Parts: sequence; C-alpha cells; structure tokens
Amino acid sequence: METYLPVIWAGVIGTAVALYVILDGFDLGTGILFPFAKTERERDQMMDSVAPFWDGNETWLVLGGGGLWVAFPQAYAVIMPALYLPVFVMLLALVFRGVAFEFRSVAVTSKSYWNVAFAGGSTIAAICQGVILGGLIQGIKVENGVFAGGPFDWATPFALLCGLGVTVGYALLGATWLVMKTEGTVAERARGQAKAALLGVLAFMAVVSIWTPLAFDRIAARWFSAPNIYFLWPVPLLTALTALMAWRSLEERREVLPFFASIVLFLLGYLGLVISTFPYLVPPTLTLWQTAAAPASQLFMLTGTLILLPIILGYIVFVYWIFRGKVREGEGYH
Amino acid sequence: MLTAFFLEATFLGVMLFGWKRVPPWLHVFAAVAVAGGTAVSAFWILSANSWMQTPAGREVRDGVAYPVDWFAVIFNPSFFYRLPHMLTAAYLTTSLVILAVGARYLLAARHIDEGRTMLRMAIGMLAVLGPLQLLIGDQHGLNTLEHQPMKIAAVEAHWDGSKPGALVLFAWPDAKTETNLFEIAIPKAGSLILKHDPNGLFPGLKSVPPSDRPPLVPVFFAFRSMVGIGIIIIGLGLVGVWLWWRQTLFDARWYLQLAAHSWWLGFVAVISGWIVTESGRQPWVAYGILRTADAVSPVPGASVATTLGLFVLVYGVVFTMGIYYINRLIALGPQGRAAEPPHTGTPVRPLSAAIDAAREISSPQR
Repeated sequence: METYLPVIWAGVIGTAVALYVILDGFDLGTGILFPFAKTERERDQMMDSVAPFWDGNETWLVLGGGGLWVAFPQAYAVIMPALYLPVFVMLLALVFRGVAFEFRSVAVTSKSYWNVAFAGGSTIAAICQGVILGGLIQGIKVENGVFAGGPFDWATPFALLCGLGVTVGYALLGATWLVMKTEGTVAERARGQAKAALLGVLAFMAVVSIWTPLAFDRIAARWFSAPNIYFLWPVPLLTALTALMAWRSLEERREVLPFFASIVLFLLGYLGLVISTFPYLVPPTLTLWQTAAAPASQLFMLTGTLILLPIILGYIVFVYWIFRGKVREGEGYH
Repeated sequence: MLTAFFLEATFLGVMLFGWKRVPPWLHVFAAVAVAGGTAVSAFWILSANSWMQTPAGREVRDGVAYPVDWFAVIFNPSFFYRLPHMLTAAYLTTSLVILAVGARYLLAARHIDEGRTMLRMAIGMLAVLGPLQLLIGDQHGLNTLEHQPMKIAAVEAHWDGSKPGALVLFAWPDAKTETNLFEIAIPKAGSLILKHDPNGLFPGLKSVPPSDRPPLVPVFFAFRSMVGIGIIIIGLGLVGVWLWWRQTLFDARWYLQLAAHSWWLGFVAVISGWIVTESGRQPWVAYGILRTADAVSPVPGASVATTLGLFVLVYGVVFTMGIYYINRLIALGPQGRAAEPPHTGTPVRPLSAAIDAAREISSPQR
C-alpha cells in the first residue's frame, strides 16, 4: 500500500497536469497568437473559439496543484517556495487574461487595452509555466527536507529557454486549434503560424534532449545506460514521426489532424520528461515516497478522486461535443 | 470540492454560450449544474475553513496532524453554523444588488416591469433571510464562545471574565493598558446575549497571556460593521414589506432612493465577517494546533511583499474596471439577446420565457 499509493497518486496528478497543458495550452496559445490578428472581427472569432472552454480547462491546474498539496505535501512545501515568484506571476497573468474575456466584450473605447491584457496575460502565463518546468528539471536545493535556496535560484538560461519553448509549444496548439475551429483569414493565417511554431517546438525539443543529458548526469544515466536504452529508443523516433505527420497534414490542408498530431507531440515530450525525472518529485533529492502524505489520507482522497474523475471527464467530453465543429457567429461574449 | 469547481466551470460555458447549440431543457440543466456546483464548492471551502477553526477528528503526532475520523473532520463543530451563515450572507448580498438595480430603474422610470419584479423578489428575500441571518449569527456566536472564547472576548472587548460582560457599543480596545478607551456600553447586555442571562460569566481577554490574544481593533470594529449593516438590512426588508403591504412600495421615492444606494452593504458585511473570523482566530492557523508564526514558509519577506503589491495592483485594476463595466451594463438595462423575442414561434431560450412570465406576474398591479 505504501509503495503503490504514491505511484497511483503521481499518475493522477501527472494526468491532470498533462490535461492542463494540452487543454489550457490551446486557449493560452490562442492568446499568444492574438496580436497577429488584423481586425476586431478576427479577434472576436479567435476569442469565441475558446470562450466556452477556457474556464473548465484551467480547473485542471487546480487539480494538479491541489493534488500535489494533499498527496505530496512535502513536495508542495518545497516546490512552492522555490518557484514562488514565477508561480505568482503566472497566477496574476491568468487573472488578467481571464477578466479580459469578460471586459473586452463590454468595453467600447478600451477594447484595445483588453486585447493587450489577453495577449500579454496569455504569453506571460505560458512563459512562467515553462520557467516552472525548467526550474523543476534543473533541480531544487533542499536541506533536511526543506527548501534551502534563494528566491531567484530558478532564473537560469535553461529555465528561460524552457519558458520560450513552452510558449512556442502553446502557440502550436493554439494555431492548430484555430485551423480546426475557425474559417477564412483566421484559419489561413493559423496554418502558417502552425508551421513556424512546429519548427520552433522541434528545435526546442532537440536542444532540451541534448542539453539535459549533458548537464545532468542522472538524466544521461537514465536514457543511455543499458538496458534502458533498448526500451527508450522508440520515444525520439515516435516524436520525429509525429512531427512529420503534423507537417504533412498542414501541407495537405487537413483541418482536424494537425491539432491531434500536436497533442501527441506534446504527450511524447511530456513522456520524455517523466522518463528523465521519475521517481523524483523534487529533483534531485525527494522522491514520490519520501514526500507522500499519510497512506490513510492518500487512500481517502484517492477513493473520491477515482470515482469522480471519470464523471468529470464524461461531462467535459460532452461539452466539447456540444460545441463541436466550426465556431459560429455570435457564440461568444455579448 | 474539485468536482464542484469542474461542474461550475464546465457548465458555465454551456450556460453562457450554448443558447443555439442545446435544447432548452439542457440549458436549464446547465444553469442548475452551475448553481449546484457553486453551492457544493461553498460546502467544501467552508468545511475546510471550519476545520482550521475547530479542528476535530485528528490526532497530532510529532507536530503533524493526521486525520483519524473523516466524518468528524468534514462535519466539524463550527461547520453547521458557518455554512448557513455564509450561504445566507451570499443570498442577502445578491438580493441587495437586485434591490438597488430595481429601485434605480423605477426611479428613472425605465424597465418598470422588470424593476418591480426585482424589487419584490429582493424585498421578499431580505424580509425572510435578514431575520433568519440574525438567528443563525447568534447561534454561530454561541458556538464560537464554546470553541474560541478569545475571539468572542475580542469581539466584545471583554477584559475581565469574573464580571458579567457589557454590550460595548463603541470603544477603542487598548492592548497596552488592557482597558477600553472612550467606552459607551450597556452593562450586562453582553452576558444577556451570549449566556442568555444578565449575570452570566464568560472568559475575558485577561484569562490568557497577551501572546495568545487575537488583534483587538480589527476584530472589534469589523464585528460592529457586520452587525450594524445586518440591522440596516433587516430594516430595509421589514420597511419594504410594510410598504408593499400598504401598496405604496413603488411610489415611496424615499425608500427607492435608500434602496438604490444600498448595493454595497452586503459586500462590506461579508468582508467584515471574514475579518472577524480570520483575525479573531489568531494567533492560530489551525486553532490550538498550529500557530501562524510556525506555519510560515521559507519565502523571503521581499518576495512576499512584491507579490502582495502585485496582487493589490492587479485586483485594484480588475475591480475598478469591473465596477465601471457592471455599472454601465446596469445603466444599459435588460436588452439584447436575452430580452429579444424568439426568432421562431417556439421559445428557443429559457430566459425569454422567464421574461414573459415575469411580465404576466407583474401585470395585474399595473
């Protein structure tokens, strides 16, 4: 029980974070691409395509953070102080872009400010999330189980690179989402943006794949030692094939496939990071088991989560089904 | 709790944007899901907060609290008072906003039918929930006296527990001299309220060392702000019902003027109440288990100050603009898609049917 419960919980939280990255990724990506729209009508179209979903999408962040807090309180107590500033800047950026949805629709003369708030909030939130990711991968200084570093330990070139990478990645999800959900000039422009973002994501993945094994011995050992390498070599191969498929589908002017190929690309990148860091929750010191809450707490919460999660997923799929197809005129905020 | 968040967030999309995509019954269901999700959120949030005030069903080993009895954890002693108190407060706050908007429409002689319906709904809610809130608040206070006596002592500015408590109407509780300056009080009335006996005794602040006392000024004044507004709210409700009964409600301009300016009362009362309960439980984060000073995370003060400043800035902008836009929407009045007649013969939107119904209800008095 004490061995398996933390692993199951890590799976639940990992799923929540993956769902968050993909779901909020496409609506943050739409915000990142917002400045490239030419007219207010185009911006309306972009915003309307994500309006019914973004609120639900961001709730996965609450499950990821809340899950970490209840299931691995010690990891939470180390990660939050270590990444305090990027986490808070991200939350405030999300606040700004959240209210921008509402305020932009009722603003008359100040619409352009809320355009900036939406684009800026989305971009800053994406950069911060990348920095948080980078800050985790590069490791956190821990002494006696508590955070022992400074407030700017996270600010390294590697973390900033991750910030950029995640932003480009979200732009890819946003662009392929717009290809799928919109028509006319918005979809046409998104197709070009998707190609550019795809190249950016591949470059970022390549850099991280070379950088992390060189900089961190534990990551090199994980990937390149026998027998791991025999099992792990398909991961980069699958990534390359998926990227190829995404590119071809954009060239062939497919509408739905590019979005799902981008999702698979994200999941493969995510899998790569999990392989690099497992079983550490706080690399390179604290593992799942060291930071786990009391088994009684984990079990109680898990029972509730495992009953409710399928129900939640069920009605989320249902809502996406209701709003399937291209976004229609007048479906956004009014 | 998270299920509730998901329910609320997911179906909000259907409720706001799904007019043309879903049949009416599903739209109604989405609205109910949003309302239900919000109420369930309140349940869990207040359960968690109540546990921090009255931590039950746990045992402490090596300074860490472990759950022993989940039923006792969730339904802890103060939960059944805090939840109804907060839910009623939320309904009262909304009712006051509706009252104010309805009164403004009537004063400006616009949207008369909608304004009258809003006024009736709001006055009905205030007249029932206002006095009920007084009762719940009284019971909540007795429960707090039992579990957090120092919070009540701070609320009453009651120093000496060996004498019956006065009802202090105004004072400046001074922690240094351990007395009340400029005190205006009704002797023994505090004991009458709290012990239902003019000579009843309840613990005073001096019964614990100063390090175990909550900050007096915020608790003392926030409580008076909450209760004072509560009394105004009850008055607004009862006077409204009286005017309604005399059939002069819509002509009493003085009452409409008063109502039109009362939109903020609920918000201030709710915030005051939270100041009372949160500063009143100090110096504890989890009452009796964990002191606030011991719960501090290893984040430098400068970081905390920076993010606090950013929070104030962001919320300042967001709330200022929010109030500005809400005011403009109110001035604009009900129109647009929601008030439009349906495009087809059948009512495609539940709200259009609701508006028709509202017209029917208000028509006999026209």
